[in-house]
Amino acid sequence: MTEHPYKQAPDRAFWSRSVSRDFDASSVADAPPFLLTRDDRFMSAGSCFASNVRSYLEGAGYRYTVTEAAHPLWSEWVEEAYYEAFSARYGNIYTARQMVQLLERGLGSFQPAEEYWQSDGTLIDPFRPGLRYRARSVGEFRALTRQHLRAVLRAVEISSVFVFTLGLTEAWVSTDDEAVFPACPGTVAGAFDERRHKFRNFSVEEVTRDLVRMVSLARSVNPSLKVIITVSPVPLVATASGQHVLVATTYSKSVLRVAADQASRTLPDVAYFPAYELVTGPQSGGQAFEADRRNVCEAAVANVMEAFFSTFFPSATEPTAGGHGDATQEPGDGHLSTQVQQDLREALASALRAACEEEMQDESLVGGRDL
Amino acid sequence: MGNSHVFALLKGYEERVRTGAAAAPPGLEVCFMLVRERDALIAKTTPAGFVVEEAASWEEPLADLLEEADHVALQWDGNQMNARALISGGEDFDVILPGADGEADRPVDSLEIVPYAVVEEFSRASLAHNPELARIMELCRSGRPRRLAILGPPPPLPTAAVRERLAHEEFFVQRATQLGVPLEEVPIVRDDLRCRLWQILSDGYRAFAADHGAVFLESPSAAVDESGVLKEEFWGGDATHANIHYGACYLTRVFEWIPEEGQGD
Repeated sequence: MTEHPYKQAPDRAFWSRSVSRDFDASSVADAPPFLLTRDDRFMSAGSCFASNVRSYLEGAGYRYTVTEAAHPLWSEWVEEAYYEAFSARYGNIYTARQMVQLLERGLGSFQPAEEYWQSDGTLIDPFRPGLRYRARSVGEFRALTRQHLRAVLRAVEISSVFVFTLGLTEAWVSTDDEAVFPACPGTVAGAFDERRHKFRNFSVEEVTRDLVRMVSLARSVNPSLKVIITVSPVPLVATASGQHVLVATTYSKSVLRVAADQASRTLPDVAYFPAYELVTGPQSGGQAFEADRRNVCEAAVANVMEAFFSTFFPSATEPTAGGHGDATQEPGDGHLSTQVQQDLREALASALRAACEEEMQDESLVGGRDL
Repeated sequence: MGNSHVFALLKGYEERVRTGAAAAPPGLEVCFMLVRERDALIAKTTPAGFVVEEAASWEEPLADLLEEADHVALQWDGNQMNARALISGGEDFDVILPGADGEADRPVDSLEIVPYAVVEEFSRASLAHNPELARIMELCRSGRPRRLAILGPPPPLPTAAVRERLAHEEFFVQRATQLGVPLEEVPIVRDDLRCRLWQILSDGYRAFAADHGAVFLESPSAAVDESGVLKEEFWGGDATHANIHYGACYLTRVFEWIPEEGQGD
C-alpha cells in the first residue's frame, strides 16, 4: 500500500464514516476564520430562512442588533412579521444584488428611479412592498425611507458580525436602472409593467461579484465587520425561468453555493456556514422539510442553529438567558427609563379620570340648581 | 352628551345664561348627559333652570331622552392622545401630516418618524372599537329620525400650563415622587407635536362622523392660538380639559348647526 492523501484524511472526509453513519452536524462546517464570543453583536439579513437567525440568537441570550423597531409610545406599530425579523425593517432580501443596492442607497450612491408606487392615496415602497403602514405624502415617504436607510447603516456600524443568507438568483428589476425588487411588481403590491420591469437570473460571476461588493460596502462603514454567509435550503416558490421549478431551484442554489464559496475563500474574515447542506443532505432522510416539501421544519432549523453555535462558539460559556438587548432600543430621553415614563403616563391617566369625576361631582349640579 | 369634556359645554351653557347671552336658540330644549365611569348625570334645562339627576347607568336614560331628541351632539372621550402621548417615552418622535402647509419642508431627520398611518389607526380604533360608543350610536340610529353631530376633542394646553396643572394632581404628584421624578423633570411631549397628534385625533372623529352619517363639528378655531395650542382664556383646571368659556364658544358652534324651527335639512 502506498501513501496517498486520503490515508491521513479525517473521518469527516469520508461519506461512509461521516454521512452514511455517525453523522455529526457540528463537524460539517470547516473551522471558521474567526470565532465569536458573547460580546459579539449580530445583525442578519437575507431570505426568509435568515429570519431564524434572530430568534435563535436572542433566544440563546446573544446580542442581536435592532436599529429599527416600534416606538415605545406606538407599540401597535408592528409591521408584517418578515419586517420585524431582522436588524432593521428591510424584510426578506433574496439576492446579493438587492443587499448591495440597499447598502448603496444608505451610503447615498444609488437612488432608484422607481422611488415609490402610488395606490389609493398611499405611497408604496417598491423595496418594502409589504409594509402595512404606508406613507401618505412624498415628504413622509422620503423621511421614512431616510430613517430606514440610516437604521440599516447604523446596524452595520454597531454590529460585529453580519450573517447574510443567500436565497435566490432570480429577481425582477427595473429596466431604468436595474434596481432589484424583493418581489415581482404586482404580486405583493404595485403593478407589473413589462416596459419597466424585467426578469433577471444572476450567474455565479454576478453573485460572487455582488458578495464581494456587499462586504466591501459594509466594511466601508465598519472595517472590522465579520461576515458569515449561508445559503437558504428553502426551494423557490415559483420560477420565471421557464424551467421546472425543481430544475430552477437546483440552478439557483448551485450558483449561490458556489458564489458563497468563492467569496468566503477570497475575502478575509468571511465564513461560509453550511446550513444548506445540513438541511438538504441525505443524512436528513427527507425529514427536514414540512409536508409541502419546501418549508424547513422547526427541528431541522434547531439542528442548523445548534451546529452554528458549536461552530462559532466552541468554548463559549452559557450566555445569559434573555439576551442583552440592544443599546439603540433604550430610551433616548436622557435619564428616565421607559418603564418610569410608562408609570408616569398611567399615573396621569388615573389622575385625569379622578379629576374629571371630581369635577363632575360639582355640588351645584349634583344637588340640582335653578339657573 | 359624552364624557368629561361635556362638562365644559354644560358649564358653558350656564355661562351663556349668566352673561345674558341667548342660552339656546328659541324653542330649543337642551339636555346634557355626562357618562361617567360608573354612572351618569343628566342635566335638563327648563325655563326655570337646570334640573340635574343622577342615574346608575347611562343606557336606559339615554334611550328615554332619545325618544324626544331631534338633535344629538356627542362628545365622546377626547383624551386618547393625552393618555398616550402627553408624557413622552422613548426617543423624541414626530409625525408628518399629509397635505399640511410646510410639512414637506419641515426638517425631521433628527427625530424618529412614526408613520402618520400608525397614529391615524390608533385614533380611529379608539372610536371604532369602543363598545360603549358603538351602543350609543346604535341607540342614536334607532327610533325616530334625528340629526347627529360628533364634536371634536379640545386642542392641547401648552407645556407650561400642563406642568403647572400636573403639580395640582395629587395622585400624579404622589406617583411621580414614588418614582423619584421631580415634577419639573416630567417629560412632556413638545407642543408642536401634540398639536399634530390632536389634528390626527380630530380627523379620527371626522372620519367616525362620516362613517355614521353624522356631521363633524370641529373644535372652534377661535380657541386656538397662532402656535396651535388652546388659548389661555380657555384653559381648564387640569392638564387636558378646557374651561366654561371654551364650552360656551363650542355651544355657539353646536347651536349654529341646529336649524331654526321650520328650516330642517
